[in-house]
Amino acid sequence: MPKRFRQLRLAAVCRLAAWCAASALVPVAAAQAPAQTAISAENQLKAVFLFNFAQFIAWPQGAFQSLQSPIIIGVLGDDPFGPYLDRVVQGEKIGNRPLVVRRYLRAEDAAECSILFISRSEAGDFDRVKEKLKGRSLLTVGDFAGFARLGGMVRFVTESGKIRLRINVFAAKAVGLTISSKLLAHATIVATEDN
Amino acid sequence: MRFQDKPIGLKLTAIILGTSAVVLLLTCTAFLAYDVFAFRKDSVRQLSTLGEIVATNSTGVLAFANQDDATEILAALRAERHIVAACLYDRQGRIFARYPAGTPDEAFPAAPETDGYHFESGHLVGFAPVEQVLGQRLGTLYLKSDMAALYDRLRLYAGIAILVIAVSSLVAYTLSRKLQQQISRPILALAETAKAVSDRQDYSVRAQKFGDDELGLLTAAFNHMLGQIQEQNMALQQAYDDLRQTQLAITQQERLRALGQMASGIAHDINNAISPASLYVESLLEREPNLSERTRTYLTTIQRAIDDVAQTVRRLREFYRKREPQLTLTPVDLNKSVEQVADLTRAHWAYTAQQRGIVIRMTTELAPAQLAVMGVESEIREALTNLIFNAVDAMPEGGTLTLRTGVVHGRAPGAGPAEPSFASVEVSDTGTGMDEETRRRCMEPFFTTKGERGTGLGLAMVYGTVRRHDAKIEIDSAPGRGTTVRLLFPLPTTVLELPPDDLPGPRPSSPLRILIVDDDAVLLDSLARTLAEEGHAVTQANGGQAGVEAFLEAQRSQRPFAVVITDLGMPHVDGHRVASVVKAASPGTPVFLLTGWGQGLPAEGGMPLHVDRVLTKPPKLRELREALAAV
Repeated sequence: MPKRFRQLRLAAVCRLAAWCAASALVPVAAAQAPAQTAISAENQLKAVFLFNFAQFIAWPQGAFQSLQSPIIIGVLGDDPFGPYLDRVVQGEKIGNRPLVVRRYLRAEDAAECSILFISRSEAGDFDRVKEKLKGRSLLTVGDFAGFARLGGMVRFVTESGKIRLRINVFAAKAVGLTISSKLLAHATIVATEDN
Repeated sequence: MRFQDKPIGLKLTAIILGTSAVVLLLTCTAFLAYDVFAFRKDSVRQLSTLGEIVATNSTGVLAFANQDDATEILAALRAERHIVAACLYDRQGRIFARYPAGTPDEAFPAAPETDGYHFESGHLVGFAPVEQVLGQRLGTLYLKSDMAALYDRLRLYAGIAILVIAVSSLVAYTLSRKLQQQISRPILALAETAKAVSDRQDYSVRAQKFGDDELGLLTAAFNHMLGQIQEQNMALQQAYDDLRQTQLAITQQERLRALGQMASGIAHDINNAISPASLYVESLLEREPNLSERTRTYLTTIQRAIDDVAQTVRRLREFYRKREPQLTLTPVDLNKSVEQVADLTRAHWAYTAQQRGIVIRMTTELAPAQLAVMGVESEIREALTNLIFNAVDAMPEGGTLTLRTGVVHGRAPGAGPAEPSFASVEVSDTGTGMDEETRRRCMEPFFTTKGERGTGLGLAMVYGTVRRHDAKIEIDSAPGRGTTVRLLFPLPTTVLELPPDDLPGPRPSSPLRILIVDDDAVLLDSLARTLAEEGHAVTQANGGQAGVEAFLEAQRSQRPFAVVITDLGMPHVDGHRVASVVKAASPGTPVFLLTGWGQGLPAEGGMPLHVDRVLTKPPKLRELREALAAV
């Protein structure tokens, strides 16, 4: 996969300038969305990604109660997005399904979600969270280290100012989720590692 | 030269060529327009398909902000060489990736426009939505395609169209050159005929007909019209000729009438003048046995001279005498007529010729027996006289004139080969002869080869005589070979009784009391003396009035006249008056009319009222004796 190689090489070359790029992104984002100064550009992008995932994921039958049931994007633990995420999904629909953002403190409450962002605050408690959500057809997304290897499905990796995706396809498949190849094309596929 | 004036063949060719070229041009244009339309539609379809594929492939890169991959996806458009520019806008309408890489933003629309494709300054441009899920727009794809393919295609088509038009025009030209003749040929033939007609006034030409189409009908109608014109023209010409001939004939007749009147007067005077001479010479020769030989010879010569004068005058009379339409045909012996004519014309062919210093010999070859036909003797004689005059005129160097009579066998319709059918009289000369043109026209009235000397009526009169006798005329002639004119009279089916020939001179009758009336004293005196010598008692009356008085006086004195001989033309009381008075007083008294010629006499053969006998001047003793013997 030449594409993949180039991507990796680029990533290596640019790593040194990571901070510059990141700092460069912030004022640009701030200029375009002055109301979101509290939220970093990186997190804003992640919020958009969360919303975009809804378009590239196919949930198994029975995951929703009805055809009109909303797609719930949940945030478990500390919310890095603030109201930005709410604004992103505001009024949006995937097919007939409206998009709803909910925030949870307890993993057991988050079982109703379709897409669940597991905050870094939950990193230490990830095994328990996994346990609580076991068997649920929801896409788990996180950005802490080892998220995908530990059984999370999609991890945001920030590399040289860009957000890369690391996807554990197997974890997703295990709960009946189908991830579009177009999403996979932009991601690094990983598997769950038993530690 | 304007187009209207070009030849019709060229016009037809031009029309056919022009029509086919225009039709082809329209067809090619229509095809081209359709093709351009279809090509554009196809281009739009292709570009939209391409856009859809690229857009579909671009959902991920836009959704997850993978600029490198986006650039790579767009770079794949290299394979489509007509795509000159492309870019992806993100959800916010910012340019996210571009093709070719490194193209400045200014080369692209600042922001995405309405989805769809349109042509814009020679390019096809379009915007396609990038959506993973319906209604969720991730961004917009912009594509720009040049139309070089279309222009290539247009050039190719234009080339093909020009080639097709050129080739088909050539074919159309070749074909039309041939086919236009179908139309132009009959028209040209018609035009040529019309030109020939108008140029030469020749209505006998006809246009060639090539078919039964409208042009054929036109040609037929034209030919029919020509035929009618020709007929009418001929009828007109005929009418004109008839009119002209009639006019000429009338003029000529008028001339002849005037001439005749003059001749009549002259003839009368001559006859009166020579009458005493004739009477005295005849009387002397008969009654004076003791004349010396010399005197007798002289008197005989004088007598012949007088006869010739009388005959000349008679011929004048015969020639100018007005024709009677009704002919009384009597048996005529052609042999005798020929002999008489030979004698009668002797002065002309013998003496006149000698005066001109040429010699004309006359031979007669007559049929052995008499040759009797039904006819008018004087007319036949006149016809022969004319022929002899012509023959003499045809021999300016002299020659031989032959009169020939005979029987022609088997030429009448229905007659056997050996059956005699015609009596022929030939007048043959060894003169200049006639060419074909002259031979053909010689019977026409007023046609003459003699210039001022000829009237052009001689042969026309002959022809009239021939026609009136149901006879035929044949002319054998060739230039330098002489001319033979042959008159063929039908032979009668029954044997004809000819009038008796000259009887032996009658003896003087018994003495009679005779009253002679004339206004010419000399003639009166000579006639009185001659009759007195015959033993008659003669009373002279000078003029009609005196004659009537003398006759009535004699009636009253019981010593009536046995015969009255009166002149016809006299002042105040003419011969007719005298005759009527005589007959009124004494119906039994014979009246003899003595006349110079013609004047006042009724139709030939008839006898004037109250007249018992007509005697001609100059009076012949023999005739007088014969007439008096019958009293």
